[in-house]
Amino acid sequence: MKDSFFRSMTWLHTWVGLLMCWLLFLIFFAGTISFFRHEISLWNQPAVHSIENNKVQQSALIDAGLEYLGKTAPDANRWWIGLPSPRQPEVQVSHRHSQPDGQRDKWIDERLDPNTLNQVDGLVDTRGGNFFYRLHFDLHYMDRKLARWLVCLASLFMLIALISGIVIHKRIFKDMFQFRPQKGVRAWLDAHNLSSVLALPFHLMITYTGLVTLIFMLFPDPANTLYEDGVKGFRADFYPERQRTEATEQQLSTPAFNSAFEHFRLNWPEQKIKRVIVDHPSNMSATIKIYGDNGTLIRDEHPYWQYSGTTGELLKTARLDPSSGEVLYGGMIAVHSGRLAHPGLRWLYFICGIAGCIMIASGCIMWAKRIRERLKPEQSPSFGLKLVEALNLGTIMGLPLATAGFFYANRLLPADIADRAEKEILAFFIVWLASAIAAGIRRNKRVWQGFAYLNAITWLLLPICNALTTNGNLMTYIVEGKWILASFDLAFLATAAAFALQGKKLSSKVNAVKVKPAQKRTLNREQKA
Amino acid sequence: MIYGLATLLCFGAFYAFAMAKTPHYKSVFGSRPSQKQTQQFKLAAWIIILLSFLVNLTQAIGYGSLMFCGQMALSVLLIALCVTYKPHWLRSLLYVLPITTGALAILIAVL
Repeated sequence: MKDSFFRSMTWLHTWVGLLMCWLLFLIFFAGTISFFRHEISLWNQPAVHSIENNKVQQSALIDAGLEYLGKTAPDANRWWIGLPSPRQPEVQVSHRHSQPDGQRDKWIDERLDPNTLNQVDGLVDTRGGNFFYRLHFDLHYMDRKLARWLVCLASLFMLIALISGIVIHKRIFKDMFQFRPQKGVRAWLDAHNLSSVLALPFHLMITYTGLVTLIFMLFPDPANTLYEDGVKGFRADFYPERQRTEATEQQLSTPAFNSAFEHFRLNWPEQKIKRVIVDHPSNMSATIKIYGDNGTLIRDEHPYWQYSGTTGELLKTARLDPSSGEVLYGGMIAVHSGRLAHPGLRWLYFICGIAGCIMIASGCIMWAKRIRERLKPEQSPSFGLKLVEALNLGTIMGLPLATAGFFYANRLLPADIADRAEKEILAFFIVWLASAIAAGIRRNKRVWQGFAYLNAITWLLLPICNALTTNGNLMTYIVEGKWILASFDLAFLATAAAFALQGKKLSSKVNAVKVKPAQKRTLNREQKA
Repeated sequence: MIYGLATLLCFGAFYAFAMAKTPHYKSVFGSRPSQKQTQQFKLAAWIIILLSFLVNLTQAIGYGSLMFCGQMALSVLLIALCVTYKPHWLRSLLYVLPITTGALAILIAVL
């Protein structure tokens, strides 16, 4: 019985893992990069690189933002003021305008330098880190709902694979530090085990909380029984700030924005503000929405205050004193998104995410290697094996290359080109598609090696491309203490080094492939045992 | 700085966990460990890892536990890489690691 239980778990782990592994790799990869979402947005916008860290008080910044928006966009239907943080040095001032004939409202994004309160010139149209953030659960080109269901299914598979993996591993503590790179397929198993075990708490946490982020789509029944219009009603109750206020016919002549902020500062003097939104700023239905900053607290939704823009009185608050359910739910999402993390923890998150990518990649490579090893010399590989190998190569080596392509497109596309943000994303997908086609044609060790060196060269040239197209480079970043930008260049170089090392390893294996028969025998014995 | 101390402690704990395993001990020190040594390493590892967790928790319970998970991942990664590729680096750490950790702890206490 024990033997058959162990075998059925192995079967489950293998097939559940294989079926979704490429989608999971994409989700893990995009998610890992999204830990640096705001940093990527900063890197992608060279015009804000020169902004010094903010020393001005928040209240002065809000006043300046309101004044600026009042001058430039009095007829907008929404103002958005995002206050600077250590990850984002500039003040975000965006305004949204209604479009004729039922088209989607149009956002215009502008930035202010918090130290001079002047508008920042030379912004380029880019999605920045938000692209990877959305790719993580919306998969970009796909219908949003379908994509989220797919991501849910993939996470569920991941959770099953993780748990069955723990069951079949058995030697978690015994083999914790074991990695034997000379031992053929055994080395891949070691890499798979090592990358899973070293970040096991992270993997379990991120997969489980990932499912929780979409829980109301997966499990709408409680909301459906409690609210008349189901999940929609629940959301309206839980997120009062997302309720739309309709504009009235009357224009607002004397806005009471100042008295609203005075009331707020008097009653919550210590509260840091994350962002301020004003709906219908020049209308009698004007509403001011203030979102508090959570800092490093483990909670995701911001405390919220809603003021009337006409009278300046407090209309609504939310989550000032969250219930235990809110604390649990918000806590899980906060832990998943890692928005609370300071740079130290952020890098640890990133390392764990990379470990997850390696875990998935080594798993799918191992599957293909095992099948190939069992082939007799005269046997030709099946279509399934070829497909798995092509998807492995195209995904594992193609995605990093495509990411580099995205960064290059950001620096090299002309600033005034139409739909620039979309074209950056197009560059990402074109590079990925090209890699996939190359992988479809040929997938031997040479091609893997070629991809490794191509990746190495591409990532190596990225800091140089950055230095040539912007005003800064690694040296000036270090001298001026711009650590976020400096770590980008260093991370690019480290990625290049890792790929170069991979290329070198692959070339040594091409020569050493003949020495293996003895090892193969022991492997076969291990598999039979 | 306190998180730095916790990271060093965590690394030390996994160092001791690795040295409590005969093959890793052999690759680092070249000889087989006595049973007593193995037990001492294991005991030290458990005490130090508990200490590291507590140091993290003194900062913040939620944030500290997240830091602790990350520190464990980093420590296991570094130890595994060292044991595989540069085992002799780990030999001197037996003395360097307690000294640096102690020095940092004293520095924090003084400041």
